Amino acid sequence: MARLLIMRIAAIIPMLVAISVLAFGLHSLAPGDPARLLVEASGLSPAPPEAVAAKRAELKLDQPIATRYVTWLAGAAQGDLGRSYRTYEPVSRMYLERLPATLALAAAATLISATVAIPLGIFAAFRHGTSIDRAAQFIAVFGAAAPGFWVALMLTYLFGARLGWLPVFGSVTPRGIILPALVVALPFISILTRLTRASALDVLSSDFINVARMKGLRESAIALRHALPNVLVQITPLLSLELAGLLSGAAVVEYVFAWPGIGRLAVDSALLRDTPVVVGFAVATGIAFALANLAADIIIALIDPRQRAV
Amino acid sequence: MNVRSWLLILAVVLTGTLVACGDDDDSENIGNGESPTAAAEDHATETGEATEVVSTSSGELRIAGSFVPATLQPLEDGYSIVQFGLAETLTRISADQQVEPWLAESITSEDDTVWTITLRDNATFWNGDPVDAAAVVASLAWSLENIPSAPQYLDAAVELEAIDERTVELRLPEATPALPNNLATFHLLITVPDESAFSGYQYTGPYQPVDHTPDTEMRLEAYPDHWAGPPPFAAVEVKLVRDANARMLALQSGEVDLVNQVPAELASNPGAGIEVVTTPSTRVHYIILNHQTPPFNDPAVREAFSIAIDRDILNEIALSGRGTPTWGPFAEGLGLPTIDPLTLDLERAASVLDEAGWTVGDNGVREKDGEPLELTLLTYASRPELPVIAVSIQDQLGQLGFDITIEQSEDIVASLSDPAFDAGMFSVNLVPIGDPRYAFNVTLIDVAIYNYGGYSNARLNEIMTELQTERDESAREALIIEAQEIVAADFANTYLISAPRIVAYRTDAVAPFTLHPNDLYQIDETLRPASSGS
Repeated sequence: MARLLIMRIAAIIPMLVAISVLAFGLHSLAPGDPARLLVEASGLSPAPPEAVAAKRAELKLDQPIATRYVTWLAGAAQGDLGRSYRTYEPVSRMYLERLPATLALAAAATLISATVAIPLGIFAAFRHGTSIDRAAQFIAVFGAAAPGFWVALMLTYLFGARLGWLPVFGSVTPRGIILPALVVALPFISILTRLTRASALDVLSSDFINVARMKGLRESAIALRHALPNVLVQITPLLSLELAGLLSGAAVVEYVFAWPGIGRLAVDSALLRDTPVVVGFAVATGIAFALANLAADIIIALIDPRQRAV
Repeated sequence: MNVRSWLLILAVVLTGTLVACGDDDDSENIGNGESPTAAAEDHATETGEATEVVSTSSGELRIAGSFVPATLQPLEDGYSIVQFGLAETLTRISADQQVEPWLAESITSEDDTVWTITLRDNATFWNGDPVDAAAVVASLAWSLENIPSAPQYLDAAVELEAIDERTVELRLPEATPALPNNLATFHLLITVPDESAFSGYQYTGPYQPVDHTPDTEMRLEAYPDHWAGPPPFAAVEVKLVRDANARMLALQSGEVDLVNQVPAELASNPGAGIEVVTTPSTRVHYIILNHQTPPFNDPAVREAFSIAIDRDILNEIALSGRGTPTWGPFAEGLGLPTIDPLTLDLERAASVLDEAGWTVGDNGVREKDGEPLELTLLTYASRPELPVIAVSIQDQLGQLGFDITIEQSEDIVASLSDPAFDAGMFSVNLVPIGDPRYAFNVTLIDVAIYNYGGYSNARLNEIMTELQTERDESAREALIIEAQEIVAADFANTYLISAPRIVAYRTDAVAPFTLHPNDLYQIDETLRPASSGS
């Protein structure tokens, strides 16, 4: 286990450097002048040339990309991800300010999707070919097919504007998080239900399940003691990726619900060519995915003794 | 440890995270001159329930808009600072485009070179310091030194002097009749840098920020000692909601009282208890034509192109009829001098092209000397109505024999800076400070920064030079009229629609108000609680 941890953590650093090179390079090569976009974003539209020139000089955008990257990397090595071109705030602080809201949404959505999808998938597998199974598959298809922004607006209209049960704006409160988390969770419920069902069907055809049945165990006991652990081994990587993906934000939902998360920050920064924020976001997302994968490996190793020897 | 134990741990961790959510929003706060802890505590108190129950009886105005400033600094976000009622300028522009005093009580001049500004005797900065002559001189000097665009409005060679406590004298190198207009620009807002202030600057406006999360939300509270008396609302909460549908739903649900930048298509059925206010604005959508290259170096093509476009159709499909079709830089109804508009005339458009040798070919596209009448029309997405307008123009002019290709530009300024472009959609606030010269000076004269098409007319340049020093009001108006006639006769650009300003509000929260054509003036004394009447 210790060796696994050391190997995975050691692999993270070169990965982050590669991510930062790609993010910095691609973002710098993208069309559009960051200085002009930033001036226009401040209300001067179209941007007067003298204001653009002043902004370009201020941000040192006239330096070569390589020079700017090396400067950034030197700062990043000391924990300084630079400052936003727009707000002049440290990027790390901007990210950390939005992290709690993003974590809350990610955790809530993951909880909802796991709570709904795992029992539904296993139940559908136990009732394979029945109307319950078909209903579960319908839910899965609907969740995958319905566009997030449409679902968000429909739920907002129904529960916010019409019924008044829930706030239209999302907020990091028990009531305020329900609608955003539900919208974010919906596509994952779809994927997770299908994967759980497929895994459970696979497990249910195993010899040890047949043995358990022959011993007279109840179906619920078979599901909880024998099927669930094996299913979890297969769906844990997906859950970890879901969590990691959500830690990089859910931009569409954040826009509709005015959720102060990382996704909206990243999209706005990308559109305004705020390179330090975009690169910082890419690095932070890389860390989130690496840690989520690491956590998944650990959890799987703990659940499945066979994995510990790997 | 068995599987159930692990599941239990997982559930406890996730549930714990969810439950803890209610206490976590303190991290969204920043602020200058205030400790992060204090700011966090304030924010938790103020916004913890903001999305659930906020009483409007306390005089709080809740706004959902498509924009919250990134900073509260005049250098970066001067426009927003004036727009949201934080800062003021010496003069401002009225709804009918007239200059009116603001922080200044009066501005006078004998020769338009030496100007005397008399200040209000009761205006103060938020820290209580008076807005006296010394402060105004220091503020204007600071702007000239630090804000790149400020010298466009106030000659950097100006001599500023505080004559007495309430009187400032400005001695300019040459006569500047439009100085009162120029002083209305947000580049010359009155401020004092102050690191101890929340925003890093002392301003004078009716509302001062107590909380601000860049690009997310902002809370303002009334400045009770404002020179015009206590502001109508005790507090103003501004929240960024990018999605226009979500903004309107929030208005319908009562979570906000006022919504800015309502898309025209959502304004028709706002819902019970909601009023929509529309006004033509000084922003104009138009097409820049490249006068240096074919086909628009041919006056006949420019004329036919312009008079064959049905502006009413554009207005209907792109702005649900809420815009104002225009044939020149100034829309009707803004209080600006205008000329008689041209009219849609398809027959004349066809005959003009025929006479110029552009004949219809077998494929329906006109051609001349073997060259088809084809062009690329650039557009861009940040103003969603522009691509819609471009498609309609493509369709309308296709029937006349134009072959138009639409190209969406990622950076319209860069695309228009390419000398090879044919035509490009553009949108500019052509009268930001009530001075119609601005439209010509920035888009049409030889040295205009947005004259990408290389349009040139010697008489127009002369007129703008004359207007710099012409003091007689009727003569100035005559020159502005003549300038418009020149631009119309040359078909310099193809003007299309004056974009509307559309705002929706709850009638139980906000009293009826008149919407200013310029969105620089968004939060001011005209916004009052419903209980106060109009």
